[in-house]
Amino acid sequence: MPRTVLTLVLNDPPYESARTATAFRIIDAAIRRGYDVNVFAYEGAVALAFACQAPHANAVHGRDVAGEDHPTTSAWVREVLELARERSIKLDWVNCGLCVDERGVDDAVRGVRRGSPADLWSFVNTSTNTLVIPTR
Amino acid sequence: MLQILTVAYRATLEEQDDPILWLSHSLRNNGAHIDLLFRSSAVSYVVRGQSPIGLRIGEWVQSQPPDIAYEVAALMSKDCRIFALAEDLAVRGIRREHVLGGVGFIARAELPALLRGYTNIWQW
Amino acid sequence: MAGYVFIAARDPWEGVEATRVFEMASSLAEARDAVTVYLTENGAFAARAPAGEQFLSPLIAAGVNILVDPFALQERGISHERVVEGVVPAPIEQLVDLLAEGRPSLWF
Repeated sequence: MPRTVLTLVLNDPPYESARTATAFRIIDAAIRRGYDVNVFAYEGAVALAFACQAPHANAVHGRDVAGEDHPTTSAWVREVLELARERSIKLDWVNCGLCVDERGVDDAVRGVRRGSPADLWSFVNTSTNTLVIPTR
Repeated sequence: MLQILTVAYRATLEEQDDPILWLSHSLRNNGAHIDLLFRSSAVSYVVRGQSPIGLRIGEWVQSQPPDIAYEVAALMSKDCRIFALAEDLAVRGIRREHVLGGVGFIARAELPALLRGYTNIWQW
Repeated sequence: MAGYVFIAARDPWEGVEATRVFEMASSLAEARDAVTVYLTENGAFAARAPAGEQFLSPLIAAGVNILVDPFALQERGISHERVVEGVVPAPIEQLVDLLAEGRPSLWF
């Protein structure tokens, strides 16, 4: 039986929109449901996997780095890659290469690859469904 | 200074706070006199019972979810006045009994008088 | 495959876009297409009764299936007991399953 494959097209950079957390919830849920997932990160979303992100303390909250436990989207990317690996699910996370170059975020977490709209078109043609999460 | 917030829940899960509430706290802690006006979807920030508990991505489970109502109340405890636009609350069906104590309901017609009381007005 | 999924993530009081999309959903449903609207993020504001009835009751009457993200409800302090009649809380896994059916899915 052919596997169900979902493709998500993300556009938002980290820390700018509620759509980012929702996108990760969808990816997480899809993996747990046993669906293969493709992510095409476009425009600002190429920074989601930027390996140089770092959590920080929060003096307003009165918490140190450990206490604040501030998420980074790069850590979330690692989490869903690991979740997929553990469950033998295919998660293919592709950053649009030109978007990476413009933004200088070419240090992505391991498991994320550089690609182009050709990858997106390949995803679309081999997926059960494609969801674009647009930005505003 | 009057901070006017119009957008609610923008990246609050990732930041574990609202960036403008956080900034307001930080400025207040540095001595600024700040009041806040919530308009549009941001009127939701004065509602009791906001509880984004349980965000999970892979093995990561959020241990410090944002507590927006707490942060609003904490600003009030620092002598910041908090206002919410009455009409925007009403159209969304948010009644006074659902709202934190101490929040001032401001009608649209009262906005000019409110704004005249500030030299710095920042709309976010 | 007939059928659509509309993911409504924006506060319907914030502009005409939400209204236009709800009208589109209603039209599709009246033409006998299966339409599901999934309310999430600030779209969940529409689920608060009775204020949201103006947006959602016509959709329900037209046969649109309306689901709401329970996480978005709790994030906004909207209890399940105060949700517009006919709107069903549905975890995000249910949205994922709808996507997996292959229906054209639009996010707005």
